[in-house]
Amino acid sequence: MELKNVMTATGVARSGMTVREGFRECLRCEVPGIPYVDESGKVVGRFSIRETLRRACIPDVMVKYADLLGDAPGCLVVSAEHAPQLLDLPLLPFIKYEVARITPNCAVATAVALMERHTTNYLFVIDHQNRYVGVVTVWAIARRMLELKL
Amino acid sequence: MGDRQAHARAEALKSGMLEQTSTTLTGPMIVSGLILVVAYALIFAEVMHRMHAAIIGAVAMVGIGLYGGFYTQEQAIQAIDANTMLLLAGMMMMVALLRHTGGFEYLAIRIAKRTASRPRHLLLSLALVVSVISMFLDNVTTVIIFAPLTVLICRMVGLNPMPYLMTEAMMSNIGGIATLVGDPPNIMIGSAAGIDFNRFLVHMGPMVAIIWCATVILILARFRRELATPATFTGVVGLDETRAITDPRGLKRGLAGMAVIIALFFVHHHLHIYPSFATFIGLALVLFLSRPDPDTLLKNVEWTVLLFFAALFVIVGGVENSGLLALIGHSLASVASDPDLLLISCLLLMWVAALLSAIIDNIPFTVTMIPIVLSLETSGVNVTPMWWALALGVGLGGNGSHIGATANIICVSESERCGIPGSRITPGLWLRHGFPIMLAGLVVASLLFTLFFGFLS
Repeated sequence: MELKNVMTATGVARSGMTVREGFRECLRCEVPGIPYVDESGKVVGRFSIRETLRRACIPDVMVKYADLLGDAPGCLVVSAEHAPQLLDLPLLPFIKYEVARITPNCAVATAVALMERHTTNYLFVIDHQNRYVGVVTVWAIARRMLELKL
Repeated sequence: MGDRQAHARAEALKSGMLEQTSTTLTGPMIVSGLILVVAYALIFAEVMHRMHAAIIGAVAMVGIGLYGGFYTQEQAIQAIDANTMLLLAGMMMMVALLRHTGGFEYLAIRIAKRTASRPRHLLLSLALVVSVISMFLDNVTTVIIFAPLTVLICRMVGLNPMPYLMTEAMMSNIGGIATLVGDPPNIMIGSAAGIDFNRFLVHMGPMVAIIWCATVILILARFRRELATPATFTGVVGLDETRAITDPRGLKRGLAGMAVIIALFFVHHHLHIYPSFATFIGLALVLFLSRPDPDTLLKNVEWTVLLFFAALFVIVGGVENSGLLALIGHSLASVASDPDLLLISCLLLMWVAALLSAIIDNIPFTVTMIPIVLSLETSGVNVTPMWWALALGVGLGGNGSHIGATANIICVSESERCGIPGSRITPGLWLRHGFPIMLAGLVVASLLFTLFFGFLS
């Protein structure tokens, strides 16, 4: 199994895009996140659905005590009416500038180890010229394993 | 200096076995005083971590003391009050054992569910619980646990967390004054003065209770606008306390250990054991029952705090050995030894201690004042009321500014982190509310001190 067989090509997030555009690209490619590139096209961060929801809707203190939350979180709940407001926001404030990456020639086992090391389900494949190639997700690896077995 | 050493020194001086104190400034006094001032300046200026500054100062003091012939390495080691150090370490380990069990969170949620429908009742309940816990456990840990939960509860029910956070910080400071073990300064004072747990509680407890009530009344008055029920108020705390306790057995064992410790505190004087030994008896019981991982347990001991204290003791020990603190004490003795002026001296000490503690760390101040008060004792001054005045001053002073106590800094950080408009505790806000509350506490303390001066003497 080679990395190129489990990789998904996606679009990238750029300055000026909205959260809505970022979400759409993630859902179209069925990936949790896409890379964020600067003006020169270099990958400098990532845009993820989970990170965006966490920063926009979930207070840190709610995360800390998530195990204690009952059925009715009261005023902590972000109502559905606010969802469109979030989607129209620029995605720049939700970018995380830590990028877990891997080069195209690495083994799939290396990819899994890196995911474990960075506590993530996906990695960006970036070549030696610092060009973005695609995303490797843990689900794609599992899917490929099932295909091989068949 | 341990209480045994302090009393031995006092007896030796009285019997003339030690040299009389120099009445003029000597070279060692000047040098040791300079090292003290520079070390304290580094600590208060926060150009580096206070532990680093204290250790550098301690090394300089011992080095120069050895060269100057006024401070030996043995004296430096003896200057470290082992009772204080071990008591702090023991209690830190007990708190570490209790903290992960979820017991504190359970308590906070239960209280919130009972009282959240009325904002003022919620404030009173949290203030009371935090104060009582702070009487036996470290203020900082108490606030570290309660502050984020308070923010969560306030957000859930639609309240502004600001007055609750400020109240918790101030009440933990006040609660800690009531007992021998409630505050590091109290531990040091009790150790140096030979004051046992019961005596401390009997003398400070009633005063602290009255100051507590007066402070709460003032807080309710000053924050009446913030405590009014807002339009978004739901009064419903959507937390499940049954999920809070993650280690029921550990909690029972930890509470059993704490019960043993507190029971031993009440009788330690009769058993002729140090409070630190009492703490380790309870700790040993919990270690036997729970067998926690040592690395995990020791990771939760604040070694930076312990080393900071040890280094301070060494620094002040050097200054004491040079004779400078005794010189200061003797120069004050002429005033303090007059029975008519003793009350005023005590009140002055209380107020100076409080005002200084509002702006600088009260630990270095306490460590420095202890030998001065002990030297007053060797001059024949009745220093018993001075110990109470010092404890009250350094304790109440912590409420005066946002940096007056570590508990304040934690609550300020939580208020900034919660990101709710109008809930951020700025330095100006603390000064507007906390400083008058501190002053009111000091006025009440001064009145009570004057009223019961005979009992306190």
